[in-house]
Amino acid sequence: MFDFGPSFLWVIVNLLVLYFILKIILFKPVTEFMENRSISIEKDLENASKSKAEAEQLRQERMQKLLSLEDETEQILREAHLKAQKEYEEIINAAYERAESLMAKAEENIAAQREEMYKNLRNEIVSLALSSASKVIEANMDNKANRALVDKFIKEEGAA
Amino acid sequence: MDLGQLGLREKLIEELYAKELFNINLFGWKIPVADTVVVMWIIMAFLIITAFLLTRQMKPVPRGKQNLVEVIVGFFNSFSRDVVGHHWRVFAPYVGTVALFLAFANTISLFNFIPGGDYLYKVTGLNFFQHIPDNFLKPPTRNINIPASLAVLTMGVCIFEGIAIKKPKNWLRSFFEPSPIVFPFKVFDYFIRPASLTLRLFGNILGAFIVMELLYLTLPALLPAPLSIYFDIFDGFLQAYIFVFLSLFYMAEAVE
Repeated sequence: MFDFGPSFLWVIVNLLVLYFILKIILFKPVTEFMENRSISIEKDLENASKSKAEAEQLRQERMQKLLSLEDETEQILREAHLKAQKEYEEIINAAYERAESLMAKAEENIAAQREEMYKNLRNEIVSLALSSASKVIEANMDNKANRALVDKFIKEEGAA
Repeated sequence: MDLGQLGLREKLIEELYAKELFNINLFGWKIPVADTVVVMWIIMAFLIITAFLLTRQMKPVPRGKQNLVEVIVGFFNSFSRDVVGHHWRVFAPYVGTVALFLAFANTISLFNFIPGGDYLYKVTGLNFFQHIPDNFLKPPTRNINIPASLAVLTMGVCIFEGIAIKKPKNWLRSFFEPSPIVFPFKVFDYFIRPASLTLRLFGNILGAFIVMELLYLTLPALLPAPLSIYFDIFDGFLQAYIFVFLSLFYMAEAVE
């Protein structure tokens, strides 16, 4: 019971051996493992909150950009509307002008042709009158002086 | 149990003594090996093999056996962090080793249902087992050598780490603080503390052991079972806890 002796030294040696073995195979690796794990978990959490904040910032930026883009689009659309309206009016006006000039030209043409036709008709009528008159008087009236005379007559008739 | 040949008192004393089982010859010295030392070897082997098996393939997400390891190691780490503070890393493995050893040493008598040496000799025919007496697994702490060497080791750790952490000059100066009058008391501390650690553990385990032996000798059936829960299990763990708590407390004082 109280016999101090060799067991005393045995126990000290045994305990030192047990201490070093357990320290190497149990306490040190497990403590390191658990600490590394908590460090990595803390790092992960930190990273997660950081990327969350970044994502939030990005979202805000995108939101603002989207809003400004919408404004821009609206402006562009308005400008396009205005431009289209202007071009539309220009085209319509040009078309009216062209149509008017075409009409004027056409009327001119028509007038000229009518003039021509009248002239030809008159010539025909003069010739016809001259030939019928020469037939009537058996004389060839188809010379210059007679023709002028008949022209004058027809003109006076036509004017009347 | 042959009460006819020996009186109850002799029988008890017989149970308490560490028996020399065999000698080891080393450089011409005969080193006797007592049964307490053999029991300690058994506990050491069990602890080392278990630690080796439990710490293989640790995974970030603990499962099964790894939880047990993490709980045990984490308990000793936070225990020494609470008591010692900043320098806990140095002491946690020592305290854990002592606590695990004591927890098993104090409760090992639970495993006495394992048959003794005579039976094993008859079954296996190995001469080795003849050295092992019946009812062999008695707490080694009932012999004063083991608590005493644990306490001396603890004081050794206190002195060693005190010098290592405080640096020798400051360590020597701490004997004279806060006033030179305390110097003799501080020196006495280094003798009184191991003595108190030793006798507290030894006395408690011895007392529990004697009570249980008395019960087994006089009333072997029924009553020992519930009392064994207190004296063998609860008292064993409680004394292990008290021993390492006081050890840590002394260590904290040595390095603060």
